Amino acid sequence: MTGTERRTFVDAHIVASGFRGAMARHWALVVTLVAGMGYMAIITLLHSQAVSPIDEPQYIDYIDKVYGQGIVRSGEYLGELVRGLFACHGVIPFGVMGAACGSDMSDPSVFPFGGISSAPIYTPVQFWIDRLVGDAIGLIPGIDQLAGWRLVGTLWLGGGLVFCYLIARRFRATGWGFVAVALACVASPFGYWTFSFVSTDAPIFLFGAITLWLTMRIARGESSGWWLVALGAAGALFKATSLVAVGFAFVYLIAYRILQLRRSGATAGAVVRGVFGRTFWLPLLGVVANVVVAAVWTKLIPIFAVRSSAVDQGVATPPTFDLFGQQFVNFLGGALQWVVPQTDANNLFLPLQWLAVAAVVGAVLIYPRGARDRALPVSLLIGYLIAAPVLALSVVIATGSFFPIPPRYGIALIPALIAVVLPLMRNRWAVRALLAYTAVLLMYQLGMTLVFARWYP
Amino acid sequence: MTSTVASTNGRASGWRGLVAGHRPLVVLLPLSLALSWTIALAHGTGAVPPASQGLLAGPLTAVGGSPALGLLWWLWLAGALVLLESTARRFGARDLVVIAIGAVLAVSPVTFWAVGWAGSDGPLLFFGALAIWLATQVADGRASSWWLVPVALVAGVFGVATAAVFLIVLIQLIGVAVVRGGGWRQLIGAAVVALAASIVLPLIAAVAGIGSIPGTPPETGGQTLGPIGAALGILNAMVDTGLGALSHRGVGLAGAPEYFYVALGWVIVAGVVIAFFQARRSQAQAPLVVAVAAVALLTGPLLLVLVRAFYGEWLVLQPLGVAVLLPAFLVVTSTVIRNRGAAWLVIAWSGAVAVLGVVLAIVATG
Repeated sequence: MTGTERRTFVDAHIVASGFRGAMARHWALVVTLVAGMGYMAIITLLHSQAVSPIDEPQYIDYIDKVYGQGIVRSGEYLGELVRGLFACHGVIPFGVMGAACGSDMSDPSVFPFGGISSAPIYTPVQFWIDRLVGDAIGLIPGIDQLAGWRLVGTLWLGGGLVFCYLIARRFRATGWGFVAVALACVASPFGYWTFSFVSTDAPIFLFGAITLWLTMRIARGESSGWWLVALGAAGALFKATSLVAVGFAFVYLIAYRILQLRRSGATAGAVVRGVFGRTFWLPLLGVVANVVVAAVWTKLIPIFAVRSSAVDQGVATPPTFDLFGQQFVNFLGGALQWVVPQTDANNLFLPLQWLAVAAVVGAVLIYPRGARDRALPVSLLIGYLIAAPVLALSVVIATGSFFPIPPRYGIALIPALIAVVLPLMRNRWAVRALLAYTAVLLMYQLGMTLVFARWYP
Repeated sequence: MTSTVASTNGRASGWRGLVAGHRPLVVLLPLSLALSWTIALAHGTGAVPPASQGLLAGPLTAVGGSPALGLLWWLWLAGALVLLESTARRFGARDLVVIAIGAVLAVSPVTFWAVGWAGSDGPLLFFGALAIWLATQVADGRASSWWLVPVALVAGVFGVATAAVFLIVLIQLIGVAVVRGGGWRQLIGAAVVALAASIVLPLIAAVAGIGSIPGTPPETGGQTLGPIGAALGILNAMVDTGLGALSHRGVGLAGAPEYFYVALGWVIVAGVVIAFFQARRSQAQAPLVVAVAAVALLTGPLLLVLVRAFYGEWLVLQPLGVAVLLPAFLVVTSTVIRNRGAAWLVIAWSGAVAVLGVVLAIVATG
């Protein structure tokens, strides 16, 4: 037994009770949370007032307005706060936009997308949470209001990591393996842009982790499938991409049931019949609930609208077979290392893609018959392949045009990715190599944060 | 996995015994021949053959478009498949797995260019497989380590990239010596000499000003890296030239659905990375796995430094110039395919890519 293996999740031999005992048993989670959340909080506090290019000004505007008007309506102009951020601090890496800083900013049309908010496609749920929690954080001396709102991202991250840990504990994995992979996600471009700025992807990471944790409990008969219905509906209140999480849960439960029946020696007919039980219909109902809530909200948007002008972000394009085909490799190809902005050093992140691919494809290659949970790698590969095409198809059906689905929309699958790679990490040198590489990425992201703060003050 | 290792029960003599003992080759050789010849014949004479490298770059470029040579070049692939089967079996790969990795080799974008035209990539595939096979034989005590030296010398004819596979051999044999706790002088001495031998002919070519290198040559006034950009160049070379080159790229033809090849490359990425994640000192393949993982990252910097030493300039490397590494990556991949369904999936996807390759050869280069 290697040194690394000695520190496994199976630390049940630590019988000390109370706080110290819990800390000793869950040391991997403690290390990950302290390092991951601490790092993310520091990065967030080092940011200037310049905003992320991933629609952060739209979200800040929404958060700014929720106390006064509850929701932001379609066609509404961006408020003074965000116009000031555009004009005086700018968008990373594009710089200042709109009117000159300090000048008259009353003309919204000089700001991006005609100064009209694109955020009303979201329900106000996340923005209310961000506002309430962010304002509470902002009460801490030295933390300004925007930093407080952004620091909520650290909490979404922490919550997600806790559930990732609960999932990982079900597998034969080492504690340091979990620390390495989780921190690699924190240090990745996905982690940086999602959790250190205001982002609507951040809660979907937590949502994906909770959904998978619950799904694994449902598969083993430890929880009711009705939870998935409730979760499906709740997820749509945050973002339509929560469909990926509940869709994946559906696929996983079918795969789990099929493999369970086959292991018990069931005939092909019995397998088919056995699949259509509660583990089929309730998860399907969860998917339906998610789609219905999202559809209802989509129908409500024009009812609330103050004017009919839709925001054109210039990303729509006519659908083609080739564009659609590319979606099959979209999520896995860019799961961890999709990058904004483009820099000469972006190749530094490419090994993160190798990690993601190795996790998802490698788990399918290596999991032999009789492995503890073959359903997870099989369903994860299916999920990574079809989630982006499904989302793209739904966009085409809903709008008639196509837009390239960003890999970050697959964020709900990251917890499963972490779960499948952990049992594969048997070589302590591999864990150390990943930790060393992660340390380099953390330093690089810290450096980029300081550079961004200097270039876009 | 229920496939049998045919070699263990292939006791019948004559051709029947040969067939029974090498069932993967019975499948792979004719199919790869049909595929390679179809692609070679589909290439139009007006299309530009891919750039060759090494001492023979000039003559190869001159005759590269010859359809007859294009047909003959399948022999390099056939040789690589034979050696790949032998090496993979040494590390416990079942028939189905050997067919899977052989299929990936036969349909990969590297092979699309390597055997459809008479260039240097075909020989590089073969020598890459030969080096790994020979090193494994040496590690098992079945061959003298000094055989590596003439092989490296000859392989060097086809370019300085050959050094990358002999770096794998060196690290692999160091690993074997470490595990054994002895035999250092014999194993490592020959491997070091072989690594040096692999760069003798590229060095002569550089001094004499003939041949070509796997990068934008200085004499063409191509893009070169200044000393300040060298560090960034090395970083890019680390991820772009080794594993990145053989796993993230398609055939590079305008309009080709490259995502077909991306999915194929995932198998190689997963193989190399997961084999390293799983490596244990007690495994026979561990030295090779560790060597391949290391060289997957070191190839780019190694080539950059060698070319800098030979030509005096930092060059932008051609990513696909490292065909020599593909057999090593696939042998390592074979050690992690333990799921029969996954092996079938790889074979099926390789079949789809084979069809795509034929279509591309007809439509895009024909």
